[in-house]
Amino acid sequence: MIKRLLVICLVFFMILVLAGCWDSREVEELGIISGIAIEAAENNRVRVVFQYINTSVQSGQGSGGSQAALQKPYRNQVTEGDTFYDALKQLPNETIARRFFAHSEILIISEQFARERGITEISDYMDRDPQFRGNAFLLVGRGNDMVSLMDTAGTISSTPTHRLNNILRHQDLTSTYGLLRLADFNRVLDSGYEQPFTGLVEQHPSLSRPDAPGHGLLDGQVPEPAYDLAINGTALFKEDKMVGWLNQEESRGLLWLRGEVKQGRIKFSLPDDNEGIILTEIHQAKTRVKPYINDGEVIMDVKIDVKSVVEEVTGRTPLDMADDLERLEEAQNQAVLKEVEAALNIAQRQLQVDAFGFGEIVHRRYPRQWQEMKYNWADIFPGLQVQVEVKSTILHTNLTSHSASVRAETKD
Amino acid sequence: MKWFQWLTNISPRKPTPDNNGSTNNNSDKSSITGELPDTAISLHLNENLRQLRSILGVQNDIIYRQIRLGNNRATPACIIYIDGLVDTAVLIDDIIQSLIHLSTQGDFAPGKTNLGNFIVESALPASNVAEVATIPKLVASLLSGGVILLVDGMHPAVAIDIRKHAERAIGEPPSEVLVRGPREGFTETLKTNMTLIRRRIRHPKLRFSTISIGRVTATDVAMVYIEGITSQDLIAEVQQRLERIDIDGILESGYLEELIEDNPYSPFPTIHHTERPDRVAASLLEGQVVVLTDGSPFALIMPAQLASFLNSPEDYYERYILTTAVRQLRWVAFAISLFLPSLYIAITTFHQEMIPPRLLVSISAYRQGLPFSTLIEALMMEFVFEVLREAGVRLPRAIGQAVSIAGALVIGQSAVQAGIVSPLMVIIVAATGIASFTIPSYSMGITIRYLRFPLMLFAGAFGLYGITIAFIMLVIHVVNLRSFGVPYLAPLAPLHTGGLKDVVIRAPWWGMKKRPTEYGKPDLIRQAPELKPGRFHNNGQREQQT
Repeated sequence: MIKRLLVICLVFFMILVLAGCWDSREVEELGIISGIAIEAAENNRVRVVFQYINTSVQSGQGSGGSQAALQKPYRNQVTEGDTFYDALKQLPNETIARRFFAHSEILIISEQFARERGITEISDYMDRDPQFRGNAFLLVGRGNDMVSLMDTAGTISSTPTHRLNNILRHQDLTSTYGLLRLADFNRVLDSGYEQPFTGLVEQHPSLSRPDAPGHGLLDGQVPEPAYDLAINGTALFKEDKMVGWLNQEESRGLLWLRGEVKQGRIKFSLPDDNEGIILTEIHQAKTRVKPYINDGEVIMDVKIDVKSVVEEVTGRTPLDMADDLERLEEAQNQAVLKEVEAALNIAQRQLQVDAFGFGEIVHRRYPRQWQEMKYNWADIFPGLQVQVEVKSTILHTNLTSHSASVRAETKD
Repeated sequence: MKWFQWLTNISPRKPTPDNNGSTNNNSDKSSITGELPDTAISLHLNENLRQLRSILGVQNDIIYRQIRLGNNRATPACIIYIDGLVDTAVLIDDIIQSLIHLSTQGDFAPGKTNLGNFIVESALPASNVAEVATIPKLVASLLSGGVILLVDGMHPAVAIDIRKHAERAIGEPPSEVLVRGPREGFTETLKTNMTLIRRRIRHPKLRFSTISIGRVTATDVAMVYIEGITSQDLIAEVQQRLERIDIDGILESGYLEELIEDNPYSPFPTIHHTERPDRVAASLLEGQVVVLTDGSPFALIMPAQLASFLNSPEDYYERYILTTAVRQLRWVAFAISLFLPSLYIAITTFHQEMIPPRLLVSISAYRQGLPFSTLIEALMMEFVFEVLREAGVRLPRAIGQAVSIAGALVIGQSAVQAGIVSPLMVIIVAATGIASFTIPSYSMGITIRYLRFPLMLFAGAFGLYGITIAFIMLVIHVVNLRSFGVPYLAPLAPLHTGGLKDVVIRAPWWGMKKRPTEYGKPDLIRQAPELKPGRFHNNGQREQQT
């Protein structure tokens, strides 16, 4: 009986020891890193910005009281090293022990770094460290000044990374840039023929800030932030190195071809009517890509189905008749087509990177032929014939079919 | 399976029947609890009185009322009773009166052979009259409130049961309050309690089998069941376990519970107790056995399953859809009261990546500068909570509430302000405490509240992994429990789908056509087949659906 009890105790003890998760850490001892930015430093070194959340400021209850109000809700610690891990180890020992990456939401790599050295040498550590999450957003920062970019706090969000995260979470509202999370980026890289892409972040002077210093401010009021953060396009990669980028319209073209457009505006004007601009909002978008092999030549047949709603008409275009809407739909088709063509022009013809995932689509449709194709996909892809057909449907024109001036004209 | 054989072997076993128990009883009895010599009642009154006095001593509350019977007042007799245990008015008005009246009628002569019979059958205006032949029985009947009539030259003696003593009125049971349901609760008097059950079940097969347990206290214990619904095996088992008991006193049903339960080492109660006669009636109808104890308002219901501890009688009185929701709420609260503090400890000290970032930041902010680790903090606060709860229970009701509220507020609030505990911990402790009060059974609630502490230690040492280990051990233990041979987790494990109608959900009454099968199945069907209400024609006949 006692022997058995001993055996049981021993077994349980072994279970506990073998699993090896001992490290209990109190929450307040964690240095929560909310985001990381990386830029190229002199002598081929890496400069890393670690953004810590200053938890004592975050909730007014902290022990500091009024003193805490003067502190920033985040702290940036910048180190340099030969590699990412080397730079990490340059942090003060106390900080290294406290580091907690599990809530790092954003990883920004500077454009210069991404073009010259690539992403892989950084993401290698992230793949190995169990704390890192694959669902962190990967971004490319325009230029090479990540230190100041990581210091661009907003008014609504407390830290620059929260601010970015809030922007990125609503990517589908505009659908003007492509975005990948770290794990997806690595997955695309792993495929060998599809090429990754991701959002391109930059800071620009804020329009909300008055020119005269102190203008419109009450005493002691914090002014609007001097800089805004914006994702103004999509960085394109060949393997892990950035090779070029798409602006917002071209990025939309990329998203059309990938079937990732959710919402967003389409801006166009009627061909024989120079009077104004028409803006529609996408309500539903569907893309079907079907590959064909014709005499050994691969043709991509793309059908894009857009359902949209008229939001704004600046000219005097009448929209009451079905004919009017048809003209509008035709014009919208052309606008979408233009975006798609622009994306194809840069990515397929100039940079020759398959960011569209065409390789995977061909693979799925023609698995046998793909076995031969995949080795020279890089050669096939630039010459790929892409047939795009857009079908627009204007669902309605919102509350009115005319602007006021047109109504006045028809009264006469 | 063999691998796990040794696990089951070390689990608490049923108490093995003690072979020596019955034979060795007399030898190890002390003189105080020793049985009286089985002497018969003498024909001589004085001899009997001498014997009684030597057994009982001279006591103020034992009244020896000497009277003389017969035409010539030639026959001495004595009425013996204990003051306060009998209804003195009845004694004077009916018994003494009629005995004196009897002597004048002339048909009574000393030396008549069946004098006792004559008195019992013709002379005494009392309902519960018995003849007693031996001194020990006479003493027993006297001590339980009987009036003894000893007549010189009469054998046997006569015992008249006109017991009446101060008792509490039937009131609402304080430990099981219902919104909808009868307001009656058991009292300390066995007879009253039996009446309360009889009034609810007017069936000829309702059986009360009374035995007396306790060498010194000689407490009446009644086993209640409905013959034909309760399985014979169960009745026999309960009876056997009750008869096995040989102890100096039974002062509360809790004594019995500990002496007859299956798993003496388990923290889980395997016998249900209730103060409500309606709950007892419901259990009887399901085929359970109920044991009533004189002097305790708590009836024991056996066998009992884990699920039944989460049921309230009100579940069966309130509409079934809402009851189902309430039951699920209770199961969730059950889980919360068991796991919430340990989950909090495990997640905040081991698995911070599981906390949403904003919450993590605010937990971290609140914990800045706190002197204790989360585990110590939690143990401390839970301890304080238990202290407050215990203080509130033991104090008089009016003060008790004030203490618990003021204590919670003052200690909770000031502990946070003084920077000793974090406000989140106060929320966790309060939520856990309140959740534990949703468990209708006090015994189960207290079990769960105390099982939290080892769970917290496991969580503090090994995180979620520790909780999992502790939970597995707990499940192994609970699965091994039996209550009178019935698995404790029935009908969940072993799964009996028919029984699931009354565990997490509560099926409507017309849907529960059978009694639970766990307690044996002499008579399973409890209602007519077509009870579901629907559209009725005249005469209450249901419309034929074609």
